[in-house]
Amino acid sequence: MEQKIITGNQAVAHAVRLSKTQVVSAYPITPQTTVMETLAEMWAAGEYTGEYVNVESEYTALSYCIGAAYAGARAFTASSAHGLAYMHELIHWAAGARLPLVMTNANRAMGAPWCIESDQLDSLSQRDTGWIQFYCANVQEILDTVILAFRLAEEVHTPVMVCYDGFYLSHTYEAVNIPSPEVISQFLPNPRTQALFDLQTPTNHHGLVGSEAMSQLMQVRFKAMARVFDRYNLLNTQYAGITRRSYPAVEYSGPENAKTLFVTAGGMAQTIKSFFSSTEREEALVRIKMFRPFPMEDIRRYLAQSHVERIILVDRNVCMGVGGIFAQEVRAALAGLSGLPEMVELNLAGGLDLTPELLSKALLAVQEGEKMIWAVNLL
Amino acid sequence: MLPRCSETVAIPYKIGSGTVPVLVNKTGDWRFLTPSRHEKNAPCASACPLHSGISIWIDRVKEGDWQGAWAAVSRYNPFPAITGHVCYHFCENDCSRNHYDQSIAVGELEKEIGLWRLRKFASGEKLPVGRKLPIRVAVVGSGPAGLACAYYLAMLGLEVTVLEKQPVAGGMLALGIPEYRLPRNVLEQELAVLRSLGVVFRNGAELGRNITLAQLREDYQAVFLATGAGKEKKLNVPGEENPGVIGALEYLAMVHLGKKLPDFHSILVVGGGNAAVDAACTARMNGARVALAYRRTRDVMPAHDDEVRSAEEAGVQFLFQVQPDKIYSKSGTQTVVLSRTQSSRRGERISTVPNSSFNLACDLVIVATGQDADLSIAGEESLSFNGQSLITNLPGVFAGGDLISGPATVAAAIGAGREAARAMAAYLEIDQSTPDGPIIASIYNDSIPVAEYETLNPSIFPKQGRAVSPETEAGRCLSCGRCNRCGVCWVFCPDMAVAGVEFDINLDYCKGCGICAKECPGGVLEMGVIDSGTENHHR
Amino acid sequence: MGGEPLMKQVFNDIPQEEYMLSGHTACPGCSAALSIRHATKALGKETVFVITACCFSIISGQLPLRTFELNVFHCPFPSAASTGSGLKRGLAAMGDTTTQVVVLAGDGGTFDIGLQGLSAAAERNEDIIFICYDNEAYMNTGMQRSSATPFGSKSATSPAPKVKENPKKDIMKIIEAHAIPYAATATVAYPKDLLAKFQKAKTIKGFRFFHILCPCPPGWGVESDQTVELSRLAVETGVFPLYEVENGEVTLNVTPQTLRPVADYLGSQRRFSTLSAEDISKIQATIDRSWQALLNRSNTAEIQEG
Repeated sequence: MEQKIITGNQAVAHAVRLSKTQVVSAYPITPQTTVMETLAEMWAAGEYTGEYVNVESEYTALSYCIGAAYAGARAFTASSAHGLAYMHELIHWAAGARLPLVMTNANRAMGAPWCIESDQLDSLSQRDTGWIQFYCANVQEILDTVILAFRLAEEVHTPVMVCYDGFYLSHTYEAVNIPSPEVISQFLPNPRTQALFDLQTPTNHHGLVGSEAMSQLMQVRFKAMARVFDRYNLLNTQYAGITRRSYPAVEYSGPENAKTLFVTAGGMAQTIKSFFSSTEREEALVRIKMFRPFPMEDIRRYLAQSHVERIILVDRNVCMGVGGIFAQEVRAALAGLSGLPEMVELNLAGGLDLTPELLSKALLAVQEGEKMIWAVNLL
Repeated sequence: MLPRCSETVAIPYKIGSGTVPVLVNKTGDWRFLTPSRHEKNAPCASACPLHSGISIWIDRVKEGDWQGAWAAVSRYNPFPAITGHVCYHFCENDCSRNHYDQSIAVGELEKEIGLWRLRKFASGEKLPVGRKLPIRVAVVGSGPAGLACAYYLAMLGLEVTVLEKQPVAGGMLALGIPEYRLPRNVLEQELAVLRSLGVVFRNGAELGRNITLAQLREDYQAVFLATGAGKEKKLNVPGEENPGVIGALEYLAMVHLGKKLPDFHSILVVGGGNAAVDAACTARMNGARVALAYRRTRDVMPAHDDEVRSAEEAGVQFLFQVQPDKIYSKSGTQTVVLSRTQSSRRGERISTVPNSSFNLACDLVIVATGQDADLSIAGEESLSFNGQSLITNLPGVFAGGDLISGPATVAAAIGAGREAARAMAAYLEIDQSTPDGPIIASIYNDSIPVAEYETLNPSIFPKQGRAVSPETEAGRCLSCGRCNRCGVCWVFCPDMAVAGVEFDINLDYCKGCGICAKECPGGVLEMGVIDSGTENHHR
Repeated sequence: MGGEPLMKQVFNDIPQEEYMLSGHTACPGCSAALSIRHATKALGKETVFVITACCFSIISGQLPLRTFELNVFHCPFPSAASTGSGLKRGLAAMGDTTTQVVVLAGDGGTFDIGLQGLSAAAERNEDIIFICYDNEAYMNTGMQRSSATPFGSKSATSPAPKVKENPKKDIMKIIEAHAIPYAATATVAYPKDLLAKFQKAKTIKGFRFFHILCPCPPGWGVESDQTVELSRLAVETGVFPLYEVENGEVTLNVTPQTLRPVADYLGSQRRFSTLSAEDISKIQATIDRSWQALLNRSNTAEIQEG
């Protein structure tokens, strides 16, 4: 193990290297680009020994990985925003084909107009594609989550998207413990050395089906997704055993009997935590790491408690006509329960930076009874 | 050890993937039209005067199976070495490949088979005769019809006697056809083969003169009359009876018999048929200046074009649209008075151009204006023929060849001899089958349509001229009208519904697209609405 | 001359092995099915197909069926070349360098929606074989115009009198511009030529491209038995010359001494039924020009008789 000061994007590259990834398809897009640049440097230096392919679009970046995964190879690509949107049909396809791909997404706003700030609408728009989605809160977590993601994807035959805030994490340097390859090999099996298909067993993969077969296949995928919580918890425990770092699907921090809960995802959690510690406040934080499958049980356990009086849902995205998407999911998870606390939304759509000052102002607004607080109005 | 999760994942990556062969789809259900094979007559066999199964024996040649080729060809024609030399090969004109690149060299292949068989004979390998029957048959006339009949009758095991009025056997083969068209050693060898089969030749026996039909009927259980059409037609002009005027056959016979003729310096041949051209060429080869006078134009000359061309090459001078009016003879010089004629098609009446006559002097006039059968052979018997058929009014007496048809071709005569042998065998109630197949090929069925040429696929059948090697040349044959298992139907089936060495069509899967029928080079596959093979799959 | 008799050649030159099964659901007379049947004969067992959205999405079999005796992976419409390239790279990463990855796409998946990925894969010289079987419209969805649809053709989305006004895109020129090691045209009317080209392509490393013209009975408005004949006429009229481009060198494979008039090809196709005599002369002139241009830059070869 060594400790290095690296960015979130560099952390991804290290994780991809440590995971002995066999095929990487690369296409630049801000703020993801330095993932692929770092991997290219590692490739040139002989540290990354798999295939590194410069493709002509995100569309090809993901279909290239799909092809590699058809062969049985461990494959990776990364994207952001419009790149992710351009991949959209392939994101569906990879999940339907049950391919264990890992893709990272440095969150960025969707145009128009052009905006490279860290709105999460890009990956949240891929919510229904059938991928597992994680949202990381710091650079160390990015590295660890990518490694966990490969193991998880290969065990549940479902692709994993690891998301993190563009710039706030992708370009922020933090001190990161980089595990040694030996440590990682205790956790992540070596990739395959033989094709997944057999020339002697001709098979027509992912061809045409009727509605009945399609429905059955979707049910199978649905059930497989439901098993992901337990599997992830088990893997997280194993990983923690090796690295002493644990990332529960839903993280709770703060006093156990807090009357006000902040609920958020991604790097904003760090700001909220440091805000608490600097102001010795009574609030607690619930951070949603796993967005798909959505951890309903954990959300209910932490949020639907009698001592909780107010929940502040902090989203850096918005679903037009509804509200923050995490907020929407939380409300759906709590639906039907009686005696629910008051719920307030703080929305930073467009990639606004959540500063302690902004949090203070937001809490004042909450006191004034606002239900939908647009952070941009508090600047 | 790797920390593995205990739960096995129930769903493999292959979920949603097909592993069951699509053969369970019986796509034959889609079919409206069904391909089936209908053999047809080949254009070559149809054109052939003796309807030789040309593609059948060519099939053997392409395999290099000369024995098989001989066995196949001899069922149609026992003298391929002869026809290979003299036949005009109408088959090649009508050959489908003639529309595409170049006809198959049928004549050459036929000749090769015949010469192969003669070489075998020369090295002591006799033809096998399966049995000997105590039945005596007579063949009158040793021309191609008589010889062919004798061959088949001998092969059937009969005791065959051939009666020939001339001192040599062979009829027109010996006495009519010029040596340059048929080397006489070929004929000699064929006669030797026949003798080895037990055929007895009696030369100098002339029916109606020193033997009678009644006597033959007494001595033999069946008689085949094949005396040819040796009675030469007259010009019907004054002076024709002069000694300096001679018939073409008479002239050719004298030459071929080696009779001493005067030195003719200039000869006029009158006529436009093959006999006229043969006589002209023979005369030319004997050193004379030769002119040939024909009353119509060259394009309607009955002589075969090849013959006319070789006569031209030999230096025979052609006078077209002239006809003789009169012949004067004076001290060995013949003066022929000729008139010009109006142009006319064959069969039309000739009219002369008024005041167009001119004289032409020569040493000899050869008349070749056609021949008739000499019916005096019957003697006191009242012999009559039954149209073009081989039977006569007399039981056991058969007739064929030029005697019936008038002057025709060697091939037609051989075919007539063969058919006479078939009819005689039937009359004598002799089974002609053998373990190796029938001695005589089955009867040509002209009610079957002739395969029509359709455009060939140059990728499958590259355009190429005749090949040097007989095997390769035989390989060019498309086997029109007959499935020779070329495999084109298999190659072009999008449904893999043609399979096996016989290229059977699997109606379970044939969608009836019709490509096989369209591409079949032999024109054998046809699409039809009648669906005979679908009982075994649901509809 | 000499050697094997011709008829035996017909039969013996074409491998007996079949890698497609009867019972597939291609339309009767489908020349695409027939072309791919022969392609697989040359490609052999060590082949994996990547098939994009096209008629072969259907022909290759609906779950749980399979038409090919080979592994087939389907992929989204624009991704044919990239998925195939990824599959090949994945195999290479695992040490398998021998399995041929063959991408199958129609004209839509090649000329139109797949062109970007195709161009990129060609530029990277990915070690795959890309087959475009070109039936000159979106046939699987019901004959809509593509950029491979020829001038003057009717289609479901260019009905008369609004027939296609623009000429067909010259995909071979586009492909050639990528300086790949091998590109060839083929039709199933010349099965031995098609087989030989696939056999050659197998021995070459890098990006290999096949453009196979595939007459389509329902799409072109022709009878089901005409597809081989039309494939041949396309070659004989110069509508679709058979040639190979190897590292920039052009070789014409079939060189008729004189081209047949294009009317012989157009005449029987209902999709061209609204062509005027003037249109046909215009098409003829275009063919004459492009044929001459091809002759000029080809290092051919024997002139075929006739």
